[in-house]
Parts: sequence; C-alpha cells; structure tokens
Amino acid sequence: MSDLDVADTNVCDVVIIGAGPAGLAAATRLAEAGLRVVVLDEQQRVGGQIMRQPPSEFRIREWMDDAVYRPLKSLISRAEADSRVDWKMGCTVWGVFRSTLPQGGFDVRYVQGKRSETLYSPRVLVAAGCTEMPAPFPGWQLPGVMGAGALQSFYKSQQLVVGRRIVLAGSHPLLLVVAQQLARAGANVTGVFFAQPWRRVLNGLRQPRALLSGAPLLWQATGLLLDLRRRGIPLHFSSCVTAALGGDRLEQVEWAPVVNGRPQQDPRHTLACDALGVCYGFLPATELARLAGASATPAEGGGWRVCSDADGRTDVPGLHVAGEQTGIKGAAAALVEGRLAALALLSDIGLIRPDDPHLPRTRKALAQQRRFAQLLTQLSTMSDEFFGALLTDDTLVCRCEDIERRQLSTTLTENQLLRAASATKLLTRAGMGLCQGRYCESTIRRLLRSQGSAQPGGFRPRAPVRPVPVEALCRSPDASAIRWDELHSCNDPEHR
Amino acid sequence: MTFRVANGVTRIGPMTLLVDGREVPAYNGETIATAILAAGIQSFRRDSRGGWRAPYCNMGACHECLVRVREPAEPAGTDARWTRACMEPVRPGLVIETGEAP
Repeated sequence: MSDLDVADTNVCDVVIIGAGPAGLAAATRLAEAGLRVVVLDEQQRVGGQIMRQPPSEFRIREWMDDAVYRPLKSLISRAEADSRVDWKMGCTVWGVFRSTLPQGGFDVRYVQGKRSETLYSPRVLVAAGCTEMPAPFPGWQLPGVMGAGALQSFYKSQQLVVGRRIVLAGSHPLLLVVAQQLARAGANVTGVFFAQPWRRVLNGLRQPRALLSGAPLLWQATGLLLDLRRRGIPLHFSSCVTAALGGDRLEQVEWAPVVNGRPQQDPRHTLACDALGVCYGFLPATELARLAGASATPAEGGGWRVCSDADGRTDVPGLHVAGEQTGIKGAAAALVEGRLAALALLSDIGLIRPDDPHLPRTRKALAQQRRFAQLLTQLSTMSDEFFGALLTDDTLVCRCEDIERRQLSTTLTENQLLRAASATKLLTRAGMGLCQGRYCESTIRRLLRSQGSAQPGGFRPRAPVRPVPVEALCRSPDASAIRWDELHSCNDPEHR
Repeated sequence: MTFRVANGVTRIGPMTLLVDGREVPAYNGETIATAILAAGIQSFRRDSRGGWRAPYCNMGACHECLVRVREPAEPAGTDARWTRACMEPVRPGLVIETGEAP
C-alpha cells in the first residue's frame, strides 16, 4: 500500500454513510467543530428515505407541509447550505474495511458513476437507515405490489401517484400517512388493512410515559384517522391481505380476517386494485457496519441491530453508528442519536470534554424518544406464526433466485441441523441473488425458528454489499489494494 | 392510472426517452422508473421463470426494477448496461429496454 499515492482529497477525519436525519445531524455538528467530514449517500439529494426530496429541478408549492416534518425540514436546509461538509451524493458504498494504510482507520469504498473510489478515514459513522420488512405472501412479486414506503417515495420525491386503485396493507402506522398523502394527491385509496386488532392499539395507549414523548406523532395519527374517515377511505383492523392476484400484473387482492393473530382460511374476500403497498415494519440496514467488524444482535422487530454503547460506539474502535442501525426508532430519534454520536466522537478525539453538559442532555432526549419507539414496535410487530401463515407452498421466499417456500421446507426437513440462513443459502441458492438476501433473510430465519432453532444465524455480510460492475472496480485508482479474494464468494470460514 | 401530480408542481426540461422503441416523455430530475410507470408501462424485467417484475422498494435495494439502457450517443448494437431504474435520473434520448432477465 505504501507505493500507492493517496491523494489528500481522499483523506478525511470522518466518513458518514447515509444522509438521513442521523447522518445530517452528525455531519453538521462535526463540521461545526472543524472536522473534515465527507457524507456518502446513494440518493441524489440529502434527506434519507423519510425526507426523500424531489429533484432540485422540480418546483413544488407545498412539500411535506405537516408540522411533524418541520424539525427535519429545517435540518435538511441547514445541511444543504453547509459547505463545510463534503456531500458526495449518488455514491453507492460497497464496503467498509479496516484500512490497509499503516496508520490504521478504515477504507470506505464506493462507486460513483463508472468507477470505484476510496476514502481513507480514521473514523466512520454508519447511519445507513433501514429497509422495509419483507413479508412474503402469494403473488407478492407481481408488478403493482410494492412496499408502502416505495409508493410513498414515488409520491414524495417524484410527485408520481402509482396506480388508479390503491390498497395498503400491513401493521405499521406508516400506512395511515401514505393513505392520506396519496388521497390528498388525488389517488383513489380503496382500502387500508391493519392485521392487528384495534384493541391492541388502545391497550398501547395506556402507557403515559411513552405517550408523552410521542405526543406530536400521536397528534398526527389522530388527525390522520379522522381525515381518512372524512374521505371515506375504508379502514380495516384485524384483517390482512393474503394474496395478490393477476396475470402479468396485480389485478386484485384477496383479504381475510385475522383471528388470534392468524389469517383465517374462511371467509376470503377480493378487492380490485392495481397497486398494493405493504408495510409490516422495518429492518435496520446494518450490513456495512457488520462488514467492518461490528457485532450485531437480533433486533426487536426483526433483522439485526448493531451493538453499541449508549453514545453509538461499536466494539470496533473508530466505528460509530446512529439512527436505525441500533434498532428501529424513527426519524425524530435518529436525529437526536446522530447528534449524540457526533458528540461522542468529538469527545473521543478531545474536541469536547467527556463531561460536556450536552452529552447527558442529549442522552436524556434520546431515552424519551426511544420509549415511544418501543411502544410503536410493540403495536406493530406481528408474530412468526402470522407471517408463517401467509406463506403457501408456492410463495416465493427468495424473489431474486425464484425459490419457493416448498423448496425451503424440503431442505429444512432433510437437514434438521441447519441453524443459519447462510447454510440454507448454500443448499438452496436462496439469498444468492441481486438483493443479496435483504428480502429473504428474515423469512428464512423465521422458517428456521419454526423448526426449533431458537436463535438462527443470518447471512454473513459480504463485499460488495451491493452489486457493482467489475469494470468499476477495475477502474478504481487503487484497484491493486482491493482484496479481491474477500469479494463475494463462498469463502465464509464456517462453510469453507 | 399512474399519474404525475400536476397541481402545485412545476417540472422543467421536457424530453423524450425511447422505451422498447416507443417514445416516452420525461422531465428533468425524474428517474427512469418514474418515466416508465408514468407512460403506463407496469412491467420492467423478467424473472428466471418468465414472470414480470417491477419496482418493489424504489430505493435501490431490491433490484426488481432492473432495465437495460444505452446512451443516445452510442451506436445501435452497443451492449446495453443494466441499471436500477429507480436510482438513475433520465437524460434526453436515453434508450431503454424492458423485459429481459438479469
């Protein structure tokens, strides 16, 4: 590596991955302290998924005008005006590695345009957010079926309403927000299906301490319910979509009542629609932090959360995390957590004192936010049995490799000792495709749990964490330093 | 039908893309996925069994919206490259093919 000329422009004090609320809050605070900060994000503009901005070429009279978005909007405009931060947008980070440079730190590798570039930094903050939780059911691969968040981001950022008749289904309150936004934009929302009983929501509301911290969101939710009612949008509780039906595309959904947490076989109803948005919750997108060596543990609502101390330090020195990385908690909490991670980082390098009063103050604010987040998770998480009952024999579990539940069940029955999704992958190919297991890992882990494996392992994160063209890697100025043998092959020590 | 919200939204730079040989309108800042969906095309690529797929996540994670693209300057016959339609902004004259399996 010493023969390699590392340009000054590729060296910085902190690399932040993700320009959502956590990343933005951290970036502005660190830049204020005089650090050289580079922020990498795959989107064209900052904001993350929650504040997915329209292209700068669009002029929009009212964008995300609800009061609840105000703090995030002001964060975005402060961030975009902050020229001390080096904003690198449209960049796909494909790996974070312990550095090959003698001084240590990290190599952060990303593709921008047609080639791979590298940033060298002693510290990295991963704030890469989350993805929607996959919940396979028959027909979920049909065109027209998508994440409710996808329907929402087409509207928020592209001002596009997908579908003429839209159905929303799942268990997460995001469905209410999406229903209202699309209805306001002129869409015909023909049904919103919540799998959990209304009773569960009411019971949840008996936790005054948690409620207090979530007051603005609760206010928003109450307004939403009234507004949807006024608009005549049918809202169903204890009901779920059990199948997407159609030939080449979605034509109708089948839905059923949910009794004791299980969708019923009888009665089954149908409802015509050409778009279905599904949301049962979110999974932290922690593959980069884990690739860099951070340990992780199963998250409460599914997926993996990175293990960190109260201020976002992982067990890898210099590697920090903030936002959904440490468990799903929403944008308001992510913003506070980003600020806290920045303070911790500043204290580590001696730019603020360890007894700086902002630290305990920020921790306290975060604790409040977290209580409400836990309540939300409790209200919206469905059981393994529920998701298991949505799967039929020919439901696709792995969308990329077209692997049905039938094939996975057979493999699991024949190999009773399977304890990890990574081993299941080698036997079935489920998880080997382009999404790299993001849309099947949680289902495979559920199947393993139903076979008696209490804490099944997942897929080992592997670089590149997103498919990137080999051409882009070859064009990298330090292609010789890429550890090709570590890239996406079956060199997992467990299965070699 | 899928539609662009017009009320309160001003788009600039109208342009034309070629999707499967058909002229499709688009605006500056739109993604390829937006232009395809707004044109009433609902299917993007095939899966290994011949079934159709279309955007699922709209954030670059699921790879269901892959299409083949060629720059307008590239001569016909040039190898098209795969791209995530939801992540790539449009450019005038972009040549897009749907219906292939990656």
